[in-house]
Amino acid sequence: MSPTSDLDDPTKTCVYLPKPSSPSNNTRSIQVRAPKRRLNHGYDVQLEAYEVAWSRCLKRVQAVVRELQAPIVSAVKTSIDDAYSKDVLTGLPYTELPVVAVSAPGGSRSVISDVVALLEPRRTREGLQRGEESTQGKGKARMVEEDDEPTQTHSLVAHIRPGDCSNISNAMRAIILGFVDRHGEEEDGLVVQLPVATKRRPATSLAMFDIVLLKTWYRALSQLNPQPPQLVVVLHNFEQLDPSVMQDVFYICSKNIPHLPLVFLLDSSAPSTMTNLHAAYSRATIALLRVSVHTTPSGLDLANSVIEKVFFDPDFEPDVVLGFAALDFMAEFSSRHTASLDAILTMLQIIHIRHFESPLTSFVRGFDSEAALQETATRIRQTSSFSLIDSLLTRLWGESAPDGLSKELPEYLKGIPWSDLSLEALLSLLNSARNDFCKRAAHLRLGYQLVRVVQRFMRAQGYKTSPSVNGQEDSELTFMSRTMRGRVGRDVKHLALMVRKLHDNQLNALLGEMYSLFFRLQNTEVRQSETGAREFLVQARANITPQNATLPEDIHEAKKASAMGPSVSEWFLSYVEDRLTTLDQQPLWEIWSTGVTTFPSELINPAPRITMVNALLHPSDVVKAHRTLYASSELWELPDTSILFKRYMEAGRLINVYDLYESFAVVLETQKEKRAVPATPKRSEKGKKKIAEEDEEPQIDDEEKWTLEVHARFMRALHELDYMGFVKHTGRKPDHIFKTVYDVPD
Amino acid sequence: MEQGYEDAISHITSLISTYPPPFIYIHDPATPHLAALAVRASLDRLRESSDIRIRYAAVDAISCFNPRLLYDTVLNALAEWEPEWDQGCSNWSGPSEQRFNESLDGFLHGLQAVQASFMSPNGQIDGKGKARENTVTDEDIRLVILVERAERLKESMHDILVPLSRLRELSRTEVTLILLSDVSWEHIKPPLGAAPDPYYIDIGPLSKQAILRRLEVLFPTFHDTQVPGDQTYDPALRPLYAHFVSTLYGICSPYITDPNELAYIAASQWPGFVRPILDEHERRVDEHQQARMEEEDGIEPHGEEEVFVELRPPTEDVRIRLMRLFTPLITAALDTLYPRLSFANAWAKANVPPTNLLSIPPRQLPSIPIHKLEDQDSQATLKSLPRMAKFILVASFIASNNPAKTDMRMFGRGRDERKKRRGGSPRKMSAKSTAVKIPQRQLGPMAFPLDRMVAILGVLLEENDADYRPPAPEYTIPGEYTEMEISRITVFSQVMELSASHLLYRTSPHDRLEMSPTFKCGIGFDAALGLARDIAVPLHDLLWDPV
Repeated sequence: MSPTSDLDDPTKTCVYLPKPSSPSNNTRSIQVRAPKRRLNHGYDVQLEAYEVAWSRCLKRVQAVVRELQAPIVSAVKTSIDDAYSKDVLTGLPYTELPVVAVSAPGGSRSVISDVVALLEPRRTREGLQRGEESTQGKGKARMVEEDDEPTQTHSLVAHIRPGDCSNISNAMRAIILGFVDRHGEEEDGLVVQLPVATKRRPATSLAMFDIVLLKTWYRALSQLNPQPPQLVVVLHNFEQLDPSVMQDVFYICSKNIPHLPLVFLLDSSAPSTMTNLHAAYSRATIALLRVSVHTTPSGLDLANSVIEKVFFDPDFEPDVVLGFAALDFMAEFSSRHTASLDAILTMLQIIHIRHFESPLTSFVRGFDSEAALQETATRIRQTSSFSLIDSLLTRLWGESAPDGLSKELPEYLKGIPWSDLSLEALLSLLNSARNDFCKRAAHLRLGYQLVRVVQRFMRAQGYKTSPSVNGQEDSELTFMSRTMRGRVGRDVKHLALMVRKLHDNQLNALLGEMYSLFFRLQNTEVRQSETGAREFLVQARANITPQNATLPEDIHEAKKASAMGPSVSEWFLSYVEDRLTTLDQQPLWEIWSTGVTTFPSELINPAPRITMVNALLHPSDVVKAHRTLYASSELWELPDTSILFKRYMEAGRLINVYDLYESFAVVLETQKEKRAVPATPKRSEKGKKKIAEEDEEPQIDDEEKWTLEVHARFMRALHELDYMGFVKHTGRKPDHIFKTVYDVPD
Repeated sequence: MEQGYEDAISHITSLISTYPPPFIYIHDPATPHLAALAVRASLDRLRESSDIRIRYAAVDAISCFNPRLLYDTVLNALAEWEPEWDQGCSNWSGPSEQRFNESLDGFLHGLQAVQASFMSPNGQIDGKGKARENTVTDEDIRLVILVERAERLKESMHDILVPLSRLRELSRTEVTLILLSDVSWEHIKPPLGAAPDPYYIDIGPLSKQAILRRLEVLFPTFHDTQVPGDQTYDPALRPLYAHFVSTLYGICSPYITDPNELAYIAASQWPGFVRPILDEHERRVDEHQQARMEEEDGIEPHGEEEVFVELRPPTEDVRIRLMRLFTPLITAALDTLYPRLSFANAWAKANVPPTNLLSIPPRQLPSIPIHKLEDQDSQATLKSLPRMAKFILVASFIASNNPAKTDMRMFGRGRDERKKRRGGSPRKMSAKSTAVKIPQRQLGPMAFPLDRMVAILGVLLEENDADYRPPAPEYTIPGEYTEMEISRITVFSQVMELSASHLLYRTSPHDRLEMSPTFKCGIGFDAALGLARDIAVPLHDLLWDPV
């Protein structure tokens, strides 16, 4: 959707207006400000690396979301298909109009488009036509082709958007023309045969908004097709549709079913569509409908599973690992403010952008071949980015052994003379560091998953899984963040203790689940490295004899803790402790992990009003944040609007505009004097007198001019405040204004 | 379809077949949709009979939302003309190929043309295949226009209401207009006596017998049941159905008497109700089969012989047991299904009784669990809200229920508060005054400006949220964090989101920008209390008028 159409959409609380940029790439302008320690064109390289990493992450998120929504999509499809067959209850006094509502809190529209794609498989099959059809815009229905199986229900789809439904005739016209008005070229290769378009004379034919027109068309359609299709009407942004119009639409359509097999598909963004329907529509209208609601996964659960599947899945290796600071912020933001998919994506993107600000991140993907390494080396040589090399060197050795006691030098650094190192060798060292990091990260992900398997199992058995702080268990995001911090020792020990106490049947089930985790690994490398674990699990399972408790003594026996419990528990503890290591111990770790970088929360959750008030009160501080402009901040040195605002803040609730002007003028006087001071001493005493004598009249002119200028500046400042919403006019006292802001923390 | 409407129908039938008045108004305040069905059925019957020749058009004022649609629909129906797609969906245009839908004048001409073609058998109308041999006089033919939901004519076509009511005299045809509505003519009729008085027919509410007869008629015949082998609506169960609907009527009649609604509840309950009987029947079939197997033990069975055990209606005793078991379920269904908090098919699926209920001894019978579907939905919605949304909802509940002037007393913290307290409590004042003050919670929520709610939100956050905040060392002044928090974008976008999902109602128009927008709280006391408990806010202490 283009930003201009976003502006008309009242569901959007924020709209991004892209800067109308000239084709000359704006990365250049950023590059000018780039600090020195970079490759030449360093910013470009970083941005490229960012783009690669972010698009991988985005793709993964999309795939995960799609996977999570797949059951909903197929359920919606089934509801639509069964709308006039299986779902109809026998013995009802009248046929209900089937309405399938898809409630996607947070406004994710992808379910609807997936369902429509399922109903319109041709569009995905023939990619060429997709482009053509999508340009045809709203209100147009598209032909649907189903597979050739005779059992499948065919559907035709019409799309209705809030703009189509300003009144009942427009709404009916949009629905009817959505089906009836189609053109010849769409008919090619379709299972459903469309009636040939005939020329209707507007005066003597049925009106465009007459449902009889649709009936006539459908009769012709049924004659052509032995199994006539269902008519699906998609109501986009259902909450925005006018209920007074829609209730008539529902009434008219319900009068004509089941001869016209109409199905309404609602695209709703409210968390509870039924509550919403009841609030907006009368009982009589709802009684005509049969609503089935499908709620897409949303909120905290969605956030948790998306992050887990993207950053903690053993089969996916993200380019950048989220550090605990980022995870903390995401956990906090999604539980406190909103956990919509949009918010998560925005946060992830900002995290990525921030991460790639550091120049070393241009090496984030390492070098997959010798040629790539050589190329980078040449580029560094050409541009002589020595500071970069310097920092690489310091990081490699400096971080590896800061005190020489606590940490050992990594394997790949041992015996390498750091003083005379070729550039290529340095870069290949970097590659080794990356491999080392990736290995550890993969281990961490696997360890985390194993802990989660045990946690889920224990929860399913009805046990509490973590020694919680205040009676509430941590959310998954918080747990992830603690994993990254390396502070899950207590949880793991607690789990190991629980494993020890499981009885045979439970242990057997748990081992089965653990095994399936290793069994399902897609990544062959990881799979091979975990052969030991798999073997242990198989062995342990073989040692357990599942009990079939039928006799009372058997039941008692079965309740006993398993003999294998301790060994499984020990293995679990050692396995997990071995793998859940923190990732910030390795050299150069901050290239691949966002680490301790806190999230710039002001970017996603700003406080515009207070920021504006503060900017008006302390403009120099704001400016200073970018450039040093003002040395000090005396009142007279401030810009006009700020001066007026300070005066405004000092006043009471109701301000006399003239008083405000007077106080403003006083400051301007001071400003004039102070600014004039440096100029006066230069003039000779004599000359000054002379001027004074000669130009008495011009001086009066000057004063008048000055008064006018003060007037003008006052008016401008006042209007600026008015524009920003700080001034409320009163009807009673025309020369007074109300304040709108009080008691601002200065 | 005429059960309960016999009197009115015979009235109308005799009127139409003898000397039809030009304008009839049928007023049925209770069940106009059923009255319409009955009138239509009687008109159909009249058409079938050979005494008089009648054509009628039944339209409803919602479907025909503008004059052109009304003209088209009426003329096509009177001419018994069905538009064809192949012929460009053209309307009936009479022998002279005229256009009749342009204006009222055209419509009047259309009526004349319809009557003319009706009279002459050589006209273009396809007279249902029956060639009328002898020409007929004016008196033998009737044109009837039935308009349902006539109350809507007042909004959509108020300017042609007067000509419609004098249609016979304007068109000089034998047309009769019947308006049918649940609103009386007094509320619809054009001002200044412009329209003539109609012939009034008032229909009273249906009697109990009529309603029960209607419900019994709705028992689907054998052909209607779709799934073969499904015995839910077996004809043998018809007597039981009669008892069932009469019990249902007994339970529901204090609240609803609309036969359609009763039938709706009956349809949702019946499959569950007969399940035990069908289970029992199946058990008997199995037993029978086994007995036969044992009889034929050793002997070669005679191929695939179908064992036929007749489905027997249950005994009086079983029926009473079932009724007693299902009464709470029917009450619950009434509570849920009448306001359509859930729908019949979902209810029928969710509330299937445990299998083989009848094989359990009567004394050990458990009560059937009731699955109300709607509650979990709305509660889960509220539970899953983000923390800030919960705070906002509680703050708006307080803002909607406390009078604005009490805010300082309830939330003022600091010196100002004590100063104000000296003024005395308004509760005493209200005790003195003669007018009884109705508590706010019974009056419904008040509208409040956004600023006020945000201020209350600030107090709630400051007092109840401080422990849950992430550390923020940059805020040093007490209250600064809260001050920042309540002016952040997410608070406002949350308010917009909540109002989109109708948990808050926006009472000021969207396009008014110059003032603080006003809202109303959309949740009830119980929901607010639940939310307040979630975020540990002592809601009772913060309400001016606690329950």
